[in-house]
Amino acid sequence: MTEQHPTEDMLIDLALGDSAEPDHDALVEHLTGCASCRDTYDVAARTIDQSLPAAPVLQPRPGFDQTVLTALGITPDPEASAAPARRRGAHDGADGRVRRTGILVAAVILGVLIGAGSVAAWNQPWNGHGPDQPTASMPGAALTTADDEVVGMAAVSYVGDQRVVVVAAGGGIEGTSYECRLRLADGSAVTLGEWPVPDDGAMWVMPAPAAPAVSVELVADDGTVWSTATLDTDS
Amino acid sequence: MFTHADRASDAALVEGLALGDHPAAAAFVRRFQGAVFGLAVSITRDPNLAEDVSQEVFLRAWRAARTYDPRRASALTWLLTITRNAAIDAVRVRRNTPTDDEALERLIHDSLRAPDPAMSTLHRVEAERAIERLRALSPDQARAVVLAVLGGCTAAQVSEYENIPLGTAKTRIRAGLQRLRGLMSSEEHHD
Ligand SMILES: [Zn+2]
Repeated sequence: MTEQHPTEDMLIDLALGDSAEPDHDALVEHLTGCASCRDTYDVAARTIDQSLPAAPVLQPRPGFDQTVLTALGITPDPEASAAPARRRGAHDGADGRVRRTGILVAAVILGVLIGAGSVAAWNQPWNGHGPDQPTASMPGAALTTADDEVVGMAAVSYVGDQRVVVVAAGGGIEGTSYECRLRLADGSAVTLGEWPVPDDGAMWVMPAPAAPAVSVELVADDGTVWSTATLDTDS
Repeated sequence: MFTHADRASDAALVEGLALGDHPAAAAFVRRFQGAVFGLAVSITRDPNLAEDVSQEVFLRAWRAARTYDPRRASALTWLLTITRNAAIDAVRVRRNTPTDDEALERLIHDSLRAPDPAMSTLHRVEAERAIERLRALSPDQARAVVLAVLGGCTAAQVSEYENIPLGTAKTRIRAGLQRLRGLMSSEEHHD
């Protein structure tokens, strides 16, 4: 089949998963040796893939997520939830006992945002370089409650030209929504989003105004400030 | 631009999944379970089978997480590609997908209307774009493409369902995909 190229319809059938044996094997074999057919196939496959987000969204039964995590053998770290709230020392991190939840996740995000992919690098100062590398202006500030418990972190970052605020947090009160406010240097505040903060952590990346910002606050339904991250002055 | 930032956070979740980190894995499953289950139901038309498929999808994703490349596809698209393959595998094994007319009509209708406002921002952007492109097709092409791509129907099933010759079904699918590809590349030039 190396000499005779399959038709575009045959390649589309293959990309759609609609080719039966023995055609299927012959096509696959042909593709391994024919760059031009492989291109046609790749284009069809990519077009199909990019259309999939049009499918209707439907939530599975409650508890599905737990079933999946159990099946994967990924269980919560018992130490994380047992970690007592601790006074924050001169430097959090290092030996400070922080809620593992948001922090690790946030570290991973920042790793991806800066293109470093390194979890360990999150608390190091760094610069993003390269044309496609988003740059972040800071490594991230701890989100701390009035009791000095670290519940996550916040960072200002740039993705291309877009300034974004990345927040990762965990341990919110169930049933409570938190408004994420960016406090600007001029004293005003901008609401970036409002969401519940799940106990085991989640993260948000939100476009942010270009004006200098001083802090990120998570404000509970009743108007009390639950946690605050103080940003670097040049954020 | 915002979508790129969101894409980075999705990619971070995939990375967390690869690390077996519980909060990241839990956030990943919750973020995408609706999209995965939705597509699985679209293809299987059977919620029980769709749940098995969705579980299988997260298992496959977990195994493949280390090889995920955010430059090639968004996490959503990557996961939905896995979903489509797993759902088609399941359906072909059972060989008994009900050609439930009502379900297929609903799928066509739902796939061509505005996305669910409850979706996350990135998902909504990706869904909006995909839906807009489908809407730009002629109605015949859009139906054929939705049935084949999102409904997992074979060209023979599309032909039967639309009551058209097999060759016509294939032509509509091919022409529809070609038009979608053209729209996608003009989007890329805009970005
Ligand atoms: Zn060829």
